[in-house]
Amino acid sequence: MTPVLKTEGLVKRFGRRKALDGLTLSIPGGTITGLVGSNGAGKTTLFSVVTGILSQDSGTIDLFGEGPFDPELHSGRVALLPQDASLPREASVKGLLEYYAELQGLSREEAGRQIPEIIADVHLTERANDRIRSLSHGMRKRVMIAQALIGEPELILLDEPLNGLDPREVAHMRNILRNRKPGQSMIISSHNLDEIERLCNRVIFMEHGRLVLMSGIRELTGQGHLLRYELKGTPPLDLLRRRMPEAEFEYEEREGLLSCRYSEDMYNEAEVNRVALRALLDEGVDILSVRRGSELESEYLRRSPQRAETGKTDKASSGASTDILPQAGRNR
Amino acid sequence: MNTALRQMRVLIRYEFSDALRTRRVILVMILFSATLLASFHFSIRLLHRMENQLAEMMELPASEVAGATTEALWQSERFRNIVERMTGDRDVVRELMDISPIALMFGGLSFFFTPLLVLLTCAPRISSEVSDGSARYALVRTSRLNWVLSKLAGQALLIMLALVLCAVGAWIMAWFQTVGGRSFSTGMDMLTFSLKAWVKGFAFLGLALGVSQCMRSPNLATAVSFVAWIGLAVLYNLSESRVGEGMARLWDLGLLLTPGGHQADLWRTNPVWLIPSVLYMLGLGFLYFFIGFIRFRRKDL
Repeated sequence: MTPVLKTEGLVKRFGRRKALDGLTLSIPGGTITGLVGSNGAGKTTLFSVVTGILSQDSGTIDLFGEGPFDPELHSGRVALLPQDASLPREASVKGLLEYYAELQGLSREEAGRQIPEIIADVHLTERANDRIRSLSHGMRKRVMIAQALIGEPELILLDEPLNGLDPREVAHMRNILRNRKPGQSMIISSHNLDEIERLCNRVIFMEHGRLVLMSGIRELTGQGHLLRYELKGTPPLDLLRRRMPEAEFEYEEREGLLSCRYSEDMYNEAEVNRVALRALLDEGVDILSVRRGSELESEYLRRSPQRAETGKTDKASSGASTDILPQAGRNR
Repeated sequence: MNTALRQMRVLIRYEFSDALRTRRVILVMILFSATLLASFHFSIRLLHRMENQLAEMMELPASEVAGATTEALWQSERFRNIVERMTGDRDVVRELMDISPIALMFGGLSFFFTPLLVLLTCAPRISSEVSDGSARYALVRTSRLNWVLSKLAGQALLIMLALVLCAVGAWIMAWFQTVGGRSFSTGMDMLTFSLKAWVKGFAFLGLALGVSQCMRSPNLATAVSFVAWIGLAVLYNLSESRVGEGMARLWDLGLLLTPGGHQADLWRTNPVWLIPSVLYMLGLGFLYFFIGFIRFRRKDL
């Protein structure tokens, strides 16, 4: 599929500091990509440069294969939820969204049809005619999300979209973002890795303005080829290896974690569980939890930021099998 | 082109409705009318006092209403001198003898106060939206040029509205307080002067929004606009005093590039003088505005 966003050697300096340092990445269409990195990694700068809010010092940006962001060409096709931008305080929720809709080219009729739906989606129907200044922080955040959904843009850039929302609204917004139009792409910057794991199908790790890793979440965390069992007691490794000779078993005694790596061609999750759980129970080992793959957080901590600093990220050490692109060393 | 025009229409409409919602329009109206109408009122009282003094000197009974002896006063050298000092040009004064002195008074005040009020109300318009980040929501949907041009157009319309309302207010005031104000032609003259003041104000609107495009802080934008205004006034006065033959001819540039250099002709009624002056003022407004845009076009927001 044609990438919706490609950057090549993107550099953005603020004084002497490089916020983006030769960033090269490619986002396939129709994906939800999580952008993860520590504070100052360059995530917000990337969004701002992609949407023309900031100008890059060097490098190229290509949106939909049509070149860099052009408000005339991409109005309504690219949406942005900036992290630190206020909404006009005196506008009403409905009035503001209608203004943005008309500005990006929606007809009055189309805006009149879409806006009430979007307002209902973000649970603000009862406050539709209220001014922004009268809304709580969380409600304003929902208006910010709503403005990014107007006109079903092809690419939506969301910078910390769920920050400041209550747990119920977080769950609701997650559903809204998941149920996107087919083919629509999103890039979500967040520090909440659990959120990224639940929402996204791809992830990018960034540090110091450079790409550390770019991968499918499933491939990165080993979902589909890794099961982890939290145990109380020592597992019968010999027995497990005999019963599933094609799988690899490792036991971390200190944490009581048994890992089973398997090939999806040989086994499926249910088969692995059936054999492994039976063997463990037969040997009287207590099973405290079972988890598919590793956590995104642990993968992030494994690979970043030390790996970025030393430039040692590589396929062999990652344990993941797909398109992980070690770039940190190249960018120096 | 169609997209740009459509977007500008949406932006200007929003700029207007935002001004109404934020009560900024009320602030602008209050500022303009309080300044212009109050000073107009005091000018009428001053005129009335002068008329009475003149009547006393001529041993005539004092008038209850200002303007009763205006026609006589209007012909006097003393009054001509006052108007001449206001406009700074004897030829202009002679050309303006057909205009009601009450309207001229309004013209002088509106010419004097409009730049000040324009800088005060318009200088923060762009920088405030850039500083709080709200501009970003619009700027992913429209070009920077469309956005700032719409600000220029929106503010220009707002100022025109304020000046026209001031002219109407001043006419009503003149109607009740002066003899000369009770004629349709005085009202029309006042309206004409409000539009001429708008033309002069446009040059300063361009200056204010040009500066606003370069500044992140609204307060700084206002301060720098005033500094720029003073700078232009200094340049104009220097140019006027030093322009001459040879290399001194270069000072003509100073006259060409400052509103002061074209202001006197705005008093004229003869289109031969008036039209170039109007065009220069509008041109200067766009010039200052686009100098700011050169910075804003590539500025990190």
